[in-house]
Amino acid sequence: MKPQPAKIGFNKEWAKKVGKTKFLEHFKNVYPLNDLEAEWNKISPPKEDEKAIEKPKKEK
Amino acid sequence: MSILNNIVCSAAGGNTGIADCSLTLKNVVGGFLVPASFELTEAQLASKDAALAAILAAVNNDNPALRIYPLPETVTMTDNSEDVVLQTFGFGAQVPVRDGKYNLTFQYTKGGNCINNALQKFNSGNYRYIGFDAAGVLFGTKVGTSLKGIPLDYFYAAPFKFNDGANVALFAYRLSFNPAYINSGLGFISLNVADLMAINGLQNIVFSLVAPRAAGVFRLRATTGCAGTDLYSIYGDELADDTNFVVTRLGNAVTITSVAKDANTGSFLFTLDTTDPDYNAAGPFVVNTAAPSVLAGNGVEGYEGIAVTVA
Repeated sequence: MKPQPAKIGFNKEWAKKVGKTKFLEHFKNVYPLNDLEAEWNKISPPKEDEKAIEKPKKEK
Repeated sequence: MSILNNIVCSAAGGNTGIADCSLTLKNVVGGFLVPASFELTEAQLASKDAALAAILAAVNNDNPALRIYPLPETVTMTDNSEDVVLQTFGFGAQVPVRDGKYNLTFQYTKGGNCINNALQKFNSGNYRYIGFDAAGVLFGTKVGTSLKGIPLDYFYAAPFKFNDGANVALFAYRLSFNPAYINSGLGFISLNVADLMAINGLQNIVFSLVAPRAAGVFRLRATTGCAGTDLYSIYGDELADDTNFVVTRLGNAVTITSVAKDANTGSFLFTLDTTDPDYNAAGPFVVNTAAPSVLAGNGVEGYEGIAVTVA
């Protein structure tokens, strides 16, 4: 089993250039225990409208 | 008036009144090997802080050819300087032919064999010397409004001598130079000796491959060159940053996609962009640190990598 790295320094410039899909694909086998979606969101925080789509408000 | 065939007679002697204070160098406790181009300019000599900042910047210069190299703290000096060279004539008269050369041997103990090996790399070089004494007087040669290094006939770091049971292993370097450079040509400034002695040269970072490379993934352990201190435990977080490293193949940069702390092996895990046009699965790749200033900017101050080949 691959251990979770103590700290990962991602190449943010490269990540932004290739985009989320390739980023996740590139690292999924290298860092399988890491939440790569969360790591991507640190590199490229979702915009407000994207957040709204992900978490729709409950209707009262 | 033309200067053709015009012999200029030196002024006969100089005034010998003694001032309230004068410069007398104390024991020389340290110094720097500097490239011929190095100088402390008039602007850098405007204040002690500016001069010290210029020296520190030169010690950490990214370009090794422009860098100045601190010499280890000396514990004693042996003066083997030549006496004045005299010619004795048939009737007994003697006339000075030339000044004797300075030949000074400085012994040091800190740094030992590792520093000695590094200093021996300067033996055939064309470096100059700037020294400082126990009072913080930094001395070299005055050229115009600048302070430059003393041109050397030679710098020689000798092979060490063994501890003989009564004396520690002997590490020493020797300098030889023309006295004119620090007599009539003397240039000096007064700094805080503690500031000068605290200046440390760059240390090497040596890499070793932890396991064979698998495609664009490999692990390297990073240790200091002399002591072999593992840098994972000291600068693990700081070094886990792709900007600290450069990977090349056939001289062309290959994009590093991440550098991670691998706690399991105490090493750094590198991943490369396998779609980079300069990437080739066959390798080999040459890995090194970025420039010392980049490392320093990321919190790893005072280091420079030694390139390693990852097959």
